[in-house]
Order: sequence, then structure tokens, then C-alpha cells
Amino acid sequence: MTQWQTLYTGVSRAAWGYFFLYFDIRLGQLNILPEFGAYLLFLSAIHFLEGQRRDLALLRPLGWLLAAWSGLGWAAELFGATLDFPVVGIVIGAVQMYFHFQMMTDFAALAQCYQGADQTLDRRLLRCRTLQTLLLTATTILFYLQERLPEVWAAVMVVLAVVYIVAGICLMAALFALRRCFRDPPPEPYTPTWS
Amino acid sequence: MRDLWGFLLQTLTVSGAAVLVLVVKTLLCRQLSPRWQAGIWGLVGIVALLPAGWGGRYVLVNWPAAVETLKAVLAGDYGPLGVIAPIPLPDAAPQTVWQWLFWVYAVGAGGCLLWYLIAYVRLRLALRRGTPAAADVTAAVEKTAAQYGLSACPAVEVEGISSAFICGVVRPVLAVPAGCAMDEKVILHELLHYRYHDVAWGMGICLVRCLHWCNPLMQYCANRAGNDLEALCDQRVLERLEGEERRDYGRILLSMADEAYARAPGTSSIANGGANIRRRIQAIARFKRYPAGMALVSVCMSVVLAAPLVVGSRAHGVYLGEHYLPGTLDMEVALATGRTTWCTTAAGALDSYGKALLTESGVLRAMCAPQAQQADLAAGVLQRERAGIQPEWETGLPCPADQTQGYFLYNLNRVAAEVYEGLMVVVLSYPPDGQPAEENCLDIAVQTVQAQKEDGRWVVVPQEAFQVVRAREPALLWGCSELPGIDYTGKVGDLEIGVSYQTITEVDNDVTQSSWLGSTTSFDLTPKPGAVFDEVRDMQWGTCTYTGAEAQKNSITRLGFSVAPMWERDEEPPTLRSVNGYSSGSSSDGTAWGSLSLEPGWGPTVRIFAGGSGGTYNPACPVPEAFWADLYCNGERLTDPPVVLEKEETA
Repeated sequence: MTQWQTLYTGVSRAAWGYFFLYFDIRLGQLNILPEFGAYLLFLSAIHFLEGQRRDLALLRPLGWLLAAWSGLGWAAELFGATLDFPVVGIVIGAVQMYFHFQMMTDFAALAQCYQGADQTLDRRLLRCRTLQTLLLTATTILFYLQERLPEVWAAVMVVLAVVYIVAGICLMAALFALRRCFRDPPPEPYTPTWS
Repeated sequence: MRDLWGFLLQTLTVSGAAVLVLVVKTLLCRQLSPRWQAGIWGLVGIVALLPAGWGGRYVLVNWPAAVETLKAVLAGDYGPLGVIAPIPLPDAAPQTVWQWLFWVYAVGAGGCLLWYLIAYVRLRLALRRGTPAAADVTAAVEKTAAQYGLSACPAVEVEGISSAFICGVVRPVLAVPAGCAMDEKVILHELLHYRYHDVAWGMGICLVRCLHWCNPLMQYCANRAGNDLEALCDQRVLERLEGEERRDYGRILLSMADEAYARAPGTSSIANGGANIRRRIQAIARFKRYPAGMALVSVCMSVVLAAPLVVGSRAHGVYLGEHYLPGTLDMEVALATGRTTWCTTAAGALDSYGKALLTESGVLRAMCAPQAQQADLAAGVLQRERAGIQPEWETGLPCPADQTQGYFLYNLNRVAAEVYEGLMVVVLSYPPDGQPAEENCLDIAVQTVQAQKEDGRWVVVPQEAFQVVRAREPALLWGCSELPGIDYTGKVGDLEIGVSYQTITEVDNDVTQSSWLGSTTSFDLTPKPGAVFDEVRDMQWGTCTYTGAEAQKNSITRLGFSVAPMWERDEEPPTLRSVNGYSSGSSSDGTAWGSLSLEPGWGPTVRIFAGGSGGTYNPACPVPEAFWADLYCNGERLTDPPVVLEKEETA
């Protein structure tokens, strides 16, 4: 696999990972786009891209943790149970926030290296990263203010959910745009041959 | 903290927060900057300063229920559990073993604080005896400060110390070993401690150490926090140094690796013991500048962790006792969860009381029982548990209530700022005392209750024993004429007219289950300690009593009666609905009307109309000041303008 193909595959996996993360399609109890699938795709993306961005390797243990936890949750849901461990949920929430923040930061750095001269993909990715982080923070705060804002809480959560989905779509679009940078390899340097 | 249980609650709460912080720090030790690693201890500091269990809340784990169980099982104490301040405040001479233990803790905390204070004072005296730093040292300090844009502080040379340190918060001094040349990087390290007030943070850590002196986890966390402050200072130094200077700084730290850590309160020292220095050198090897964007995720992660630690959670459910634990311990645990699940609204308390009656559950009663009644309640429940008597709680009802019908709250009235009074009504499963049942009648039990606020939680205080009433009504949702209401009366000639007014206030307890056969609605028996009143129905009955001579009574062949509520005294008389024909009805604005044909020999009292309406609950629980009324006799209106029916004073 050439370096170009490696980058293309890595970014593709991350983009599809976000598709798994943001969308749920259910067949009865079964979620066919499980969150652990997203983390397995992210881990695969890290495998392909860590040669380019060394910091990505630091995300691997966190990725496995998140994949394991979401996998457990998926399996529990399949059997009609829920993983109701609020303290673990807080730890996972914090790790999740860092994981996505750092991964998007690394993708923005990749974009900065490989985007066209007239492109601003890196800034687009950083904007998505910032929005995602702020939304996750706002959602957490609102969860704890639920009792104090009973009248507006549901409406605010609906608005946040819509913004969250829109932000997710923007993020995926930005990653697919980054992938396009690696679709066509740059022309091989001309090497004259003598016969 | 007034007793051992308060201390236990406080220290467990802080320990829980510390464990969470330690876990997150361990997971992200290489990812997040030393600024975050040190700053996140601030959250544990905030939790340590907040009284545990305030407002019926807990942090991460329901520690109040656990401590309440211990308190009840070990000490037989059913008094209030809580922390008014995060410091020990013993309020009585010790008598029991638990009080003695608390005194031991309090004396230990005081002794620990005193020890630190004496150590600090001795150090300050020693520094006072030290000689002002030589000109070259002072010049080196000033040069370093000027080079890195920092403030210099006075320096003194002290015999017998191995490394430099800053001492003091109010008038800090830089203590340097006498006769030793000071490296610029060591001075920079200490000046950075001075710049960022690390000595003050260190004193905060000392305070937590003293307050939780007998908690090894908190001692470990205090050590970690102190080391993280040093690691942060290293990071700040390295950010100001370049290339070879950084390696030199590492070498200086390495040279201190064999020194003992002479921890002293109110100081910051570059040398904090061999093991810690080894960790700091490893961190220096990994040194990197963190991009500005990292500040965003660092702050957001701190907020995400702060929300559950500072705001806390409220218990929403109780353990009803499933006999998972041996003997009465299971019931003790269940009762403890009841006592620590605070009803945060009047509706929540009345809902819990109603459901306690329906299920005969002492645990639900514990949720809404006043503090003064908790000990008796627990004793009664545990006694029945030991004797194997069911139900677990003696409700005072003559026979079990019908759970499917739910409870009804009649005539709820706000009698004071934080006191509501009303009638708690439940339908009995069968007629009490062996009485025969009657068709289309309900045997109901009625009790006047008050919901009051007690130390931040709502409780229900019954005002009387239950009274049994046989109601000739198929349901109680739209009032019950056999139950008392608020009476309004007036007189027009020989006719006494009156309106009896009732309200029925509801918490939404309907549970609808749908299946292919259709949907069924049942009453939800799960307690809702934070419930709100959802709906209120008001009912009026209009009656007329003839008080004149019997001979003239038969001349009255038809009576009509129309009323409207008067909400304020100074309002203009309204135009009431005319009752000329044979009509009756009521409207959502509270008006009601009706007419009745009378046969000779009627009365002397007849009911002319019954009407009501439902609407959204109003927390002020308004009751009409009076009623406007028009009376029609044989089609002729006798009242122009309408008469006022005044509220009768209840005994």
C-alpha cells in the first residue's frame, strides 16, 4: 500500500466511524450502526495514520477503552438491559471528549500538510472540533441542570441534539473532503530513461 | 461536621471525588498538560470545602444512604444526617463510643493543624534569624526575575538547608542554603512558585490533609497534588528555557534525587524527594509545548467533571427491601434509602405519603416523615419485620386501601408560606369492621394532612386519625358530596342558598400500556419525590333551603340558581347566566347554574346543581373569596344585583 493509499484508507475509516457514531439505525432491539463499530473504525484509522501523526498513537488505549465500553453497552441493550453506571459514564464522557478533540486536531494537522493551496480544510476541521467539544460540554451541564430548568430543558435538549447532528454531518463532510486530497496521488517525479 | 457520621459522609464524598480524578488523571496522564494535571485537584478541593449531602444531594455515589444505614445499624441513631460545615464542630461532651470517636477525630484534626502551624512559625523564626542574602545571590535573583519578566522577592541565607524554597504567603521570602552558589534555573523555579502563589495552594492542601488526617486516600491525594504542583512548576520553567538549558535543569533535579523531602507547611521546595524527582525527570524527558487549542479541551473536560462533583445528584428512587441482606439489615438499608431520598416538593411529599398508604410501605413513609417521627417509624417497622408481621407499616387505615384507585387529594390549600393542608383520601378495599358492602358506594378513608418544609425537605404531618366515610359516588375524581368542602352561604328572603366548593389536586400518575388489544391505564405506585401537581379540578354544589312558613313553601314550584366565583373583594358584580328554562351546567371559568321543578312537600333542602371544571394547577391554590349568586323563584329573578355568598368559617 502506498503512502497515499494509506492516508486515503485511514481518513475514510475515520469518516465512516463518525457515520456510525452519529447515526442509529435499529432493527427492533438491534442497533446496526453500533458505537463500538465507530471506535473500531477509529482504531483502524489510527493504525493507518500514526506514521504521519505520532500523537495519534497515544489515542489507541483510549480508543480500545471506548470501544469496549460501547460494545458492552450494545450487548447489554441487545438483551434488554442498560449499563447504568453513572460514575463510569463520567469517566467515559471525559475520555471521549479528549479522544475526539485530539483526533480532529490531528486530522486538521494532516489537512494543513496535504490540502490544496486554496483550501482551508484544516480550519474547517478545527471549527467542527471546537463545536463538537462545546456541544458535549453544554449537554453535560444541561443534564445536571435538568431539575432547575424543567420547563425549557426538553426544548433545549432537542435544539442541542439537532445542532449536534448538523455538526456531525459537517464533520463527516470535512473528513470526506480531506479524503479527496488523497484520492489522486501526486504525479511521480520524472525520471529519464536511457536506452 | 457535628458527629462521626457527618465526618464519615464528608470524607467518603471527598474520597469518591478524588478516586474519579485519579482515574481520569491516570487515563490521560500523557495526553493532558501538567497545568490540567495540577489544576484538576481544585475540583477535589471544592468538594472538600462543600458540606457533603447539602440539599439532599450526593456526589457520585449515594454515600448518605450508606452512612445513614451505618448510623442506624451501629448506633441506633435516626437523627438527622448532614454536614453544616466541612470542619469538625463538636457540640456536646462525648458520652457514647461514637461521640468519643468523633472527639478523637476532632482533636486529631486540631492537633494536625497545630503541628503544621508550629512548624511554620518555627521555620519563619529560623528565617528571621537567617542573614540577608549576599549581594551576588540578590543580584542573581534580580537578574533572573528581570530576564523572565517575574517579580523578585527578598532572599535570606539559612544554615542547614539543602535546597532553596519560598516560604510564606503574605510576606514571602526566598530561603537559600548559606554559602552555596545558586543556579539561575533553581531561582527561576522558586520565582515561578512565587509568581503563581503555589505556597497558598500548598497551604490549601495542608488544610485538606488536616481535615482528613485519618483517611489514607486523602493523604495520598494530598501528596499527589503537591507533586503535581512541582511538575507544573517544572513545565513552566522548561517553557522558558531552551535546548541545553533544559537538560541542565534535568541534571539539577537529578542531583537532588537522594535528598529527603523535608515537607514544611507554607513552603514550596524544588526538592520533593527521590521518587517524586524521578517522575519529574521522566516528565521533563517527555516535555512538549501544548498548543493553545488544548486549553479549550482542558477547560471543557474540567467542566464535564465539575458538573457531577459540584452540582451532585439527587436520589430519585428508594430500595424497598427485597430481602437480599440477612435479618432486619435489609429493612434498615431500605429505610435508610427512604430517609435520605428527600422530597423536594410538597407534591412529592404528598405523593409519597399517598403511595405509602396504598402500599403500606414504611420505606415510602420514611421519605416524607418528619425527623421527629423517624425513630418511632423505624422501630415500628423493624419490630414488625422481626415478628414477621405484614404489612411492614401500620398505616392507621382500618383495612388495606385499593391500590388500583390511587389516592385523592381534596381541598389542598396553602395555609402558610411553606405549608399546604388538604384531605388525603383513599378508597378501602372492602368495608371495614365487617360491614356489608353497598352497591354503587365506596368506603373511603379520609385524613387531614399538612405538607411542610423541614430543613430543606418536604414532609407530611397527619393532623388527625383516619375517618371512614361511605360515599354514594362511583368515583372520586369529580368530587364527593359526603366529604367536606368550603361552604359559602347567603339568604334571599326565606330561602337560604349555599355553594359547597371542593378541589381535587392531582400528580400525574397514569401509566398507559398499549398492546394490540388496546391500551390500559393504571396507577403508578413508584414514588416521585420531586413530583409537581399537574391538574386541579374544582366542583361546586348549589343547594337551597327553605326557612319560612310551611304553608307558603308549596307555592314555590321551580327554583333556579346561578353562581360565579368572586376572586377579589373589590371586583364588580358580573352578569350571571340567566336560568329561565330547565337547564343546568358549569363552565371552566367557575360559573355554574341549574334549575329544578319542585313537587308539593319538597325539601326543605334541595340540590339545584352540581358542576365542575378542570385545569392546570396553580401553585397559589386560590380559593374564591366568595360567590356571586342569582336566585330565580317560579321563573322570577329575586336578586338584582346578585347577592354575595360568604365563606363559612370552619371550626
